[in-house]
Amino acid sequence: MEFLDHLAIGLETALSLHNLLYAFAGCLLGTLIGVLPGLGPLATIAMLLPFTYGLPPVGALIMLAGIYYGAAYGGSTTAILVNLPGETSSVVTVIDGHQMARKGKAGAALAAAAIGSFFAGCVGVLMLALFAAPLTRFAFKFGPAEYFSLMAVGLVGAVSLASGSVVKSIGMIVFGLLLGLVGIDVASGVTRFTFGFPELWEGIDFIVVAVGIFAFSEIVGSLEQREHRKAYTSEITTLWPTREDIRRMTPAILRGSSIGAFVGILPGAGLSLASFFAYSLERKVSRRPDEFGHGAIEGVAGPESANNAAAQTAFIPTLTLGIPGSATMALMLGAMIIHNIQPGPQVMTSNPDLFWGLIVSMWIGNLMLVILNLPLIGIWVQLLKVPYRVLYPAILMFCCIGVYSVSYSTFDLFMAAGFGVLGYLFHKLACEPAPLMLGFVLGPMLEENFRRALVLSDGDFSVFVTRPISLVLLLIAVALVVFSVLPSLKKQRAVVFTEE
Amino acid sequence: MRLLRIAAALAFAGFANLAVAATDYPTKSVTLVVPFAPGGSNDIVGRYVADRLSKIWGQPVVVENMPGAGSAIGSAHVAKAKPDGYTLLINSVTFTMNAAVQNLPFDPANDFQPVGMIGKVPLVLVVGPALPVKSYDEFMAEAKKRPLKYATSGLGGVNQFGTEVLKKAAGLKMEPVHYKGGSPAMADVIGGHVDLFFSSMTQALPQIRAGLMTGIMVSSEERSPATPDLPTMVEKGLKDAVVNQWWGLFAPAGTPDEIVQKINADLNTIVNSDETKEFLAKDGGTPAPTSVEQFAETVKKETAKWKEIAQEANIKAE
Amino acid sequence: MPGGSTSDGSEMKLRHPKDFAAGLLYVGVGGAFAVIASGYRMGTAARMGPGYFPFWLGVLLMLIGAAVIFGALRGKDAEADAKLSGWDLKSLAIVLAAVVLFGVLLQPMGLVAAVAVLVLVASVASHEFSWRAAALNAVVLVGLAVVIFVYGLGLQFHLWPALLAG
Repeated sequence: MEFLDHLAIGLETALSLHNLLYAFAGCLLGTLIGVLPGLGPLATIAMLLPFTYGLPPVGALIMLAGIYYGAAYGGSTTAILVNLPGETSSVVTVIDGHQMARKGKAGAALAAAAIGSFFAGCVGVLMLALFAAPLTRFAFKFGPAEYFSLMAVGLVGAVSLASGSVVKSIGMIVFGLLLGLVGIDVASGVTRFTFGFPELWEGIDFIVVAVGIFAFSEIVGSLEQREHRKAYTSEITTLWPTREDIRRMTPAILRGSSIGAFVGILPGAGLSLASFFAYSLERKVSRRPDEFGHGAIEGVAGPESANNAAAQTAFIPTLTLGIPGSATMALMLGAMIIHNIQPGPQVMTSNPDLFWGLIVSMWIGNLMLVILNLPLIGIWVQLLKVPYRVLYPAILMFCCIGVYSVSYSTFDLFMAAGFGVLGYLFHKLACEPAPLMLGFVLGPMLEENFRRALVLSDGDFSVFVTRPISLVLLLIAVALVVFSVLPSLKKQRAVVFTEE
Repeated sequence: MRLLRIAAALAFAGFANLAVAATDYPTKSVTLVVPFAPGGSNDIVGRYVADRLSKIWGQPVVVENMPGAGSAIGSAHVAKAKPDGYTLLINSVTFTMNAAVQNLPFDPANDFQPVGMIGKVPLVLVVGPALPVKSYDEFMAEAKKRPLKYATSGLGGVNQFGTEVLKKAAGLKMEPVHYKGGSPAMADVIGGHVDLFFSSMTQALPQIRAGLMTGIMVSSEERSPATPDLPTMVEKGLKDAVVNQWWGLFAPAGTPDEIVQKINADLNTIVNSDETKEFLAKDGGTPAPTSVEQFAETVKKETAKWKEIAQEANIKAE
Repeated sequence: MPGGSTSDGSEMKLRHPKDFAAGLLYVGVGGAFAVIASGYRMGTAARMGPGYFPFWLGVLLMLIGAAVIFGALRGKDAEADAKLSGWDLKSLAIVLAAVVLFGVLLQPMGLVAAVAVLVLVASVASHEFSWRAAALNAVVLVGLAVVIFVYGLGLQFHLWPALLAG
């Protein structure tokens, strides 16, 4: 019962009064800053890191874990309430979460996200504690060819993000892929589509596109509905999920947690893809696929669970190898190093109290979060009652400061304004932005891994089918096209006929 | 809390009296531009130096992160700043490499006044399951048999130049595989997807110690205390095969010489301290105090060297 | 702007003006990317240059755009919301002007002035606009921004115009 010993070590560390306080403070600060529109989890964590510098290492790590979950959950709150994704994984939360908010069910959406995240967090922490080593070995099997094939699955799945025209949403994916290519080409060093601006060398930041396309155009779209718009909702029916809601979201949470926990271990791709995969799956298995895009609670619960499970298992490569899989993880790793903790293969054996203390405190962080946030839901929902003429300048201000703070560059603000025009155009032409965002994130990874795989194979295309994992993934992609896209193309036509 | 503040005030007073020089610089707060996002090595070293300089000067040294375009955005900002010593830049060896492969919005040779080097750390060549060799000789035997694939953390970065130096000195044929940063490159070496990576010591040490990767050689003049078993390229008879990752301070060109000399002197006080030695040793690095002239010479020589290597190896953004 | 010219749709019998405009947008954007990409080295599929991937993606987007246009012309039955509704260019211009002004003012004039201008200008877009309410909102938001970002989080912002601090 080695596991129980480890658990005991961890509990002893994490359950001291000080450390519980740090966990609480971290969750609270993370939520409060993360909920500000325009400040995604990455920015939130970066801004709050300095608060942990003065603490003892274990306390600092525990507070950090709290900040991490608080920031992620705060980001989901913004996605649901103001239709603004703060990171890739929230793009899908926006789709149905915001529709629920519009229908007066913001409370239920927020609760579904909180409960789903908590459950998924428990699953993820357990995976991390029990299977860190074998999962790491599995993640290593993913080379460039496998990543390319994984991206292919993600892109095929992206079509399911749209509730309107399939052809148009494929167009949006391609549009997004192209936008993602702006910047220095990794393989050749060529600055592509930068028009002489060095600010574009590292590509366009996610938050710049998201704020422009989602937040700015949403504000303009709301202003032009000349009605006296009180807020987002006219009547708030209930704060809590109904019994029916709970019945519908439970299986979604279970499925989302499993997908997320597995996909999350893949450095780089996992964290962004988990919620997309979960959304596609929910839509596929649902008996009411037509509700998706119009406020289906499964469309919030599944992806949010997947996202949080992935957020846990994404710690696996970071902790066991010291190799961060995402920008957020790199930041967490940097914070650990500042506290003189070098994550890596030996940390489990050389600092067991620290490793297991962190694992247990992750779980406590999740628990704190749900305890903290269920009561806060009432407050967030009240925010929606603030008159819109007061609310939108505030959203605009936070967005502007958030965009600027990414790299302290006013260029990013001008670019966000440009994306505001584009977003408004999309809004007018009924082009859905979610597939574009997925394409935007996957574009560079898709191209890079494709080219890298071919450099490694000396130009031999067969690598994609001779490597077993890659082959399986490609077969899944093909199967998705055959079984999902084709019928939905047919149904597309049917909907056109029947709906109007 | 209060005690701390009093102690800090005393420390200020003490140092301020000692630092009587030809100039009364600085009379107000100094900005140190870190041209990268918080958390990287430049940022960590920069904050360390800024903190110690402000203690010596009794004036705040404010770190300002200006990330973007490699380090081009922050560097360009300093190049255009008023040359009065109140805007400084920390940058690394890549500063002398970028110019060889990319058209930059400033001239690294003429827009800056080098102030002094802070510290340096060698690169270490690591291999994984794709190239199961254990020693320098085994590596060379294999490398002569087939063209190896080496990972880089981006075109024209220190890892690529490190490998190109080896390639040139040993007459090997190797092909680069570019990654976006060191982390994915390392992951693919450990996973056996790519043959080798000339990694920064900091990143590779934990993996080498855990046996996930094998260290083969280091790129410094002498063996590193962090990896005493690994030979240097030079001791194996590869002429001029030296690459160091270093960090240094720069001021805008035209900064008055007495101010530059003063900053250099105070920087060297910090660099020569035991505290700094310990700080850098954590990552396998060593302090590298220089005079203004020595550092300027290093920057000039390296810039020319990378240009030459880039041309020979045809490393260039197309 | 491809959308503007097609809003009346008098020439051709447009079943779906929205899709028609979206198709034009795709063709335009795809074409622009493809043209610029063709200026980079193309390489082959096995050894792609920097131009290969964006060029063919651009072409693909143009093809999708063409398909969308075709569908808009030949659709059997028009949807009710297929028409392009009115463009509220005034709100768009005001909101984005506020953002751009914020960007222009932030570094020379400091955070306080930039946020105040942002909030005041943006508030004009509301049809319930009043100077009093907007000014009050500006004061509150400037206070919030300063307390949260400058004092709370210690971000790198100048509060006041650079000249005063000089």
